[in-house]
Amino acid sequence: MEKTKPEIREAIKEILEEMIEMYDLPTTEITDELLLIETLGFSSVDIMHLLASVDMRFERHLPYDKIMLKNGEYVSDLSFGEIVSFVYDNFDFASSGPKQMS
Amino acid sequence: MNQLIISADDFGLTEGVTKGISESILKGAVTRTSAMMCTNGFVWIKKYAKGLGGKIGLHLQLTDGIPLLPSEEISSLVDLDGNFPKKSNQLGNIETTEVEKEWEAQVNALLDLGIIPSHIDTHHNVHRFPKVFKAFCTIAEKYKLPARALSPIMAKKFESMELLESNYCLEAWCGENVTSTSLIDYLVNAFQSIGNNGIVELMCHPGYVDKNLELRSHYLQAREKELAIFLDPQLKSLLTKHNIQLIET
Repeated sequence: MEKTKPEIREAIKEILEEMIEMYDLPTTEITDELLLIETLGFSSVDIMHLLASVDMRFERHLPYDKIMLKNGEYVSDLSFGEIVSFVYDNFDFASSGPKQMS
Repeated sequence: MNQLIISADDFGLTEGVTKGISESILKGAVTRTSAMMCTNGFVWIKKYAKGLGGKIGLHLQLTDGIPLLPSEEISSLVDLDGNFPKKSNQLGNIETTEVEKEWEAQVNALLDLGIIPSHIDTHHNVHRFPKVFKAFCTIAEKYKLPARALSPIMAKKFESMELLESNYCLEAWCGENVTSTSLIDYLVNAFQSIGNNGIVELMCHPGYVDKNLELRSHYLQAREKELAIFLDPQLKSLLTKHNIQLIET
């Protein structure tokens, strides 16, 4: 199942819009430059929830530690565009699903 | 004072797990549990709920179980055999209205067992997904049930609904690394991150391994390790020494 970058961008945008609505976050235009922590008030956990939703949407398990962690520390922020590019670049290499507790 | 809720997930998963959780509350440091309605575990829930009044919430399910409603009413939630998917990333394109209907049925099933839920959370924490979170909020609001916050922005939402219990939930104390020392370190760091002023919920999975569990879960011996830690009388002293108070909810 191949996806174009615009298709991936649109899917992630939809998820982000749902989160903005559900969490009563400030309405903002979603551009590639949008910073999730600085602008939306996300924490690293919220970013992981966004990424898990992307996994659910595409039935993939992308290696998110590669984008979330730099030198063993959580990155200070991520932009919408960085996430779109990461998902597009890693889409075909993702495994079928994460391990889960039970 | 730092305040701690210790919540054991999976009450009703198997008899061994249900018995272990009950013991961890009655004789140990665990403060509450949440019950699963989609595991054919009603007999065990009734048997081991004795003495746990007010300490049993509802562990709402969309994964790893058999739904209560017929497949035709919740077709977006089930596979061809009428079961929930095993894993949360297999949920796919679900309908929020169907989640709400199924979860209403799960609330009513727990009430039918004579148990009024003290709170709600979800199996595999599926309410982290926006479409599921919407249904989770609907159920929390309708029944006025405190709800598990998985992140600061989720906590803010529950606070606005006046259904917030803890500042956030710790999900990562599990697996091979479960020891009393790792637990205390984890908690101390968590309280430091909120300025040593607030309530933290620790999610855990104590229980006994039985044949049924071996058939349906990969998380086995670590449940018994968790149980032993929570039953250790020294744990409460250790928590007190680190200025952490266990609270009832």
